[in-house]
Amino acid sequence: MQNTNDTFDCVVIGGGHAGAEAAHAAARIGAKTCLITVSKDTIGKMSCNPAIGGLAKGQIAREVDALGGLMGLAIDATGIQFRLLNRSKGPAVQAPRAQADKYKYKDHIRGQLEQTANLTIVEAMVSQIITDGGSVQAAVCTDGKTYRAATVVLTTGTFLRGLMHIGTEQFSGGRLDEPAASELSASLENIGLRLDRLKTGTPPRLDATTMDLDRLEIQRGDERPEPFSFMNDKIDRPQIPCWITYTNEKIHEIIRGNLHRAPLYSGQICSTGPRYCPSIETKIVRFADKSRHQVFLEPEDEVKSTIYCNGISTSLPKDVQEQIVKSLPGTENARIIHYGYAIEYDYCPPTQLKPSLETKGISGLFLAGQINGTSGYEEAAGQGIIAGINAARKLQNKDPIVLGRDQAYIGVLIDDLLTRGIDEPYRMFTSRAEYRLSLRADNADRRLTQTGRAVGLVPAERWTRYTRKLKAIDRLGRYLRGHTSEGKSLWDQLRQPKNPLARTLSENPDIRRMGLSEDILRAVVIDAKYEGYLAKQDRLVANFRTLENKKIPGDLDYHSIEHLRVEAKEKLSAFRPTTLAQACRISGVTPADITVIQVHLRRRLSAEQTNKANSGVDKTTR
Amino acid sequence: MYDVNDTIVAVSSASSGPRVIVRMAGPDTLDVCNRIFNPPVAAKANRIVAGSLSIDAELDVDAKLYVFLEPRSYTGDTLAEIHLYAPPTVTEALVGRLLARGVRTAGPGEFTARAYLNGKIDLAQAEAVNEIVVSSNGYQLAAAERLLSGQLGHATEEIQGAIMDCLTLIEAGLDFSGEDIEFITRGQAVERLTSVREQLRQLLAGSISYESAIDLPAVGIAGAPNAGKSSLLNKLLGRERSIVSERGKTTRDVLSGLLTMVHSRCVLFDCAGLVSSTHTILDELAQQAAMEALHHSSVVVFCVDVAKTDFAEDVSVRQLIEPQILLPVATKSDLLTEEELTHRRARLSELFGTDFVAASAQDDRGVDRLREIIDSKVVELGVHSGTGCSRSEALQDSIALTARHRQAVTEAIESVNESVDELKAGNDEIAAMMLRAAYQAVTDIEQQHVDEQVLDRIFSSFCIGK
Repeated sequence: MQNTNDTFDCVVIGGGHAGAEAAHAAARIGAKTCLITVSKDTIGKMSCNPAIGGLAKGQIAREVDALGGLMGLAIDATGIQFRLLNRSKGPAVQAPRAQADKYKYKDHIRGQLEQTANLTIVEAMVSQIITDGGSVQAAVCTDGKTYRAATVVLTTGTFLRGLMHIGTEQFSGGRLDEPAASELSASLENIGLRLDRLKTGTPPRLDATTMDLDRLEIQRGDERPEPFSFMNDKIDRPQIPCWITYTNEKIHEIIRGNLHRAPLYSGQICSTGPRYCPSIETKIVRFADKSRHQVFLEPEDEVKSTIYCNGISTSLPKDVQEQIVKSLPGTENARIIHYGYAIEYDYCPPTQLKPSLETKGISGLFLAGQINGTSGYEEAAGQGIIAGINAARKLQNKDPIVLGRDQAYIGVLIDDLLTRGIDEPYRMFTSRAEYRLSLRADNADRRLTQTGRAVGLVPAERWTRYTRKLKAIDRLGRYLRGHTSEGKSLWDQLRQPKNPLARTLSENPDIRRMGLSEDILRAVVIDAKYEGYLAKQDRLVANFRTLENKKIPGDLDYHSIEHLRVEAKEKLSAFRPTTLAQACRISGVTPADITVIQVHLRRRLSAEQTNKANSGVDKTTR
Repeated sequence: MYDVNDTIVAVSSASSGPRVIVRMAGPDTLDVCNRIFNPPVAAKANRIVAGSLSIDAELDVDAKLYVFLEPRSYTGDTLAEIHLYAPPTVTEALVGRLLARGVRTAGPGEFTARAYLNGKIDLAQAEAVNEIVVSSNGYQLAAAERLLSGQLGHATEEIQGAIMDCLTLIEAGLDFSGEDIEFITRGQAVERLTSVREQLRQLLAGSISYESAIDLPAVGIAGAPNAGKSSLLNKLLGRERSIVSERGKTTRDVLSGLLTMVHSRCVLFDCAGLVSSTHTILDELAQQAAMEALHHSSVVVFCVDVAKTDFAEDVSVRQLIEPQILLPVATKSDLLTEEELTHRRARLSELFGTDFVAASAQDDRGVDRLREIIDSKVVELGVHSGTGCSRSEALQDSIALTARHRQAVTEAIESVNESVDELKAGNDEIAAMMLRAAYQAVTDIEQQHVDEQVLDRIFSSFCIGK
């Protein structure tokens, strides 16, 4: 190859939340890594909501932290408002969320990457992926430079053929004021990847100094902010409030009157956006009877220079956005710094991936983040760290790390992507996790630190801290199981719902003498509370997965199956489901088709067994 | 090619006895039935109804009507079977009435052909049906089996919906608590679930046992847990060749089958669940169901695992069975040497005061002999099932549930109860899990993609998203 500027073990393309974690993980594990980003200044940038965590996402952020990733430490260092969500509900569905000073956040991530050994950061735009014999070879940039590597992690975010919409204006771009990656898509298609389009959007940002926030409802952070990272005991940073305002009939009228200029309704945008993050125009059309919609005005930095209008994501024309802001209580005189926009971009339908996040077709090419059809920083970071780990392990000839659905939300996420595919940008919800009671924010460390240590991402300091915590938990657990009052062990008392012991545990003199942190006490109380339910959860999941567990052999030739309808043959041959449950979910495949396949599989199985029996290999025993 | 859009009729009579089955399928089925059968049947759910059939202006006879609504029938269109005891002249008159109403005589295998064309079965199954069901005239059992397929799902459709609604709202509260919406209060959820529980209880109270819906003599297989009942049942039935096992999902819960012997025919039931002591409500229900199955049994094959040494549990199970219908079998006899077996059987005779037939599902020992004994016992009983409508009140508009189905409904009740308790304790996430368990209990496996359903429902019902 000509013009080879440098040779690496791993090239990571893109410096967003997926790319940063991937590059960091790969380099830390020992791969000589190169991160290619259009601009160093946008590494770790929060392109949309200036916040980390939230329901289900907070759990993922904790998982990334437990594996040894960047996200948790970064938000702890730059957060401006921390809240534990769902405080009134059970620990399994509680999740940390924090707003960040988004400028400090990205600088922090960049700083961490710049300090990472084995990692080179290059500013360039990738235009081409070179492969040879089904293996990735190099990334070629628009400046003509070539970076060779045996593994490439692609984290393109919204940049692939990004097309932005503000009203009837359409222009190429990857993010506001950043160029789209216009050539890379064609290169990916050339090497055999199938691409499709998705859409997402963002609200306008306002100049905080032009707003009248004082008369609005205030939402404050928690009095005692809870850190994201296992490495931090507390957060000492000052907390800044958010403000809450509401849309009104006047705004709804303005929007209704301008729907013909809304790209989502004029036919200008045809790709699918996320249902859970609808634009304000969508909310008003779909839920016409709602007289107002909540809008959180969230500062994007410590000094409150800009405000993110959480709740009015839109691609309406600029003049309409101005009228909306003028009619929104508290922002009447606000200056719009950035207009809201919608963006359509290429993604790579994730059924083309292996559980390692390597593509099925091209050895050494890994994909993570929005390119896989997800949305959200945490979802991106979770995939990024896994892709980075697995790229590095591939170079070491080690088996990839695949997290189970019962082990991590990251496992649920990747499994969903691979086996179900997506039809809208995928976001995590706790209801997607059938092992929800096990996958908690409070036990992410206990679920994944070991894995992080095994792959080489958990440094000694974290490991020591972790083993100390485990010992303390064990000690307290043994004490509680071994001591009884009123004929019942303290542990069993904790298992009962609403037992007051959960709150008074720290007053027990024996326990006080152990000098355990509150963190330990809480972990043990939660363990006890859920213990009895986990068995039920497992049983339920086992029943539930009957069809999921019925595997379809990879070599099944649907065209050879007698009595299968032609449409079903075609659909099934195209999708190649791996389980009967997946086959059921394919549109156009009927229950009768499933029966036909089942009968076929059963016959095939008994034919195989007969063969085996005849060859005397298998002797049935009681 | 047959026309698949009209209504067809066929008559078959049992090989022995005067029982006749008139089978109809097609769009006019229910209309036609309601003109000749009293009480009228609404197009609501699959049912067995006992009532009277008007043959002509002067003659009414007792009959049972099995109704299967489109598409939950064997053929996929609305199907009915009239089961009656009548001489050929009466049957002819009945068919004459039906033909006069525009019903057409079915061609050979036409019902099965319709089932195939409507995507209800594949060709292999169609062949099996013709071979096994049609030739053996096991129509009634087949009808009951089909009635069961999806019956629980159908009976509980409304309940499923109510559970799903409530689950959706609770889940929305968990995943979208940041929204400006109160999806459901705990109090409201408790109220809804209380009504769901009531519906489930009524379903249970209003159901009759599947066993009683069948007229053939019943032979129960009883014994302590692990006595080898299921293996023996399968052996006796020769399961591999049975349509019952071919249609896996349909009959996965039906622990029974039609046993055709040289001189007679009977239905074999597994009376699993007989235990000496009950611990949970589920044990209790299983016990209850087993007792009911026992009660319907004309003969009880009493299995004792001869390879074990402690027979205390067997003794207590034995006490639940009437002595005059007992057929004692020493199972798993292949595990002992001849000498040991002789010794052990002597001990059993002493303990239970009766001789045991040695059998093994493993090496087929005693299975043929057992079939012969059952055959002779059933023949001794005579055609005791002559009065098909004797339980007409019990059958009236009833839903027939197997022991397993009743167990599923009880499980659902249990789970709903637990869900209510957890809601009251403020544990919404556990309440949600219990509701999933309840939903799972009353739903067919193939419809269980709860998670996607929950999210779809949330997004279509509420304005979510900032």
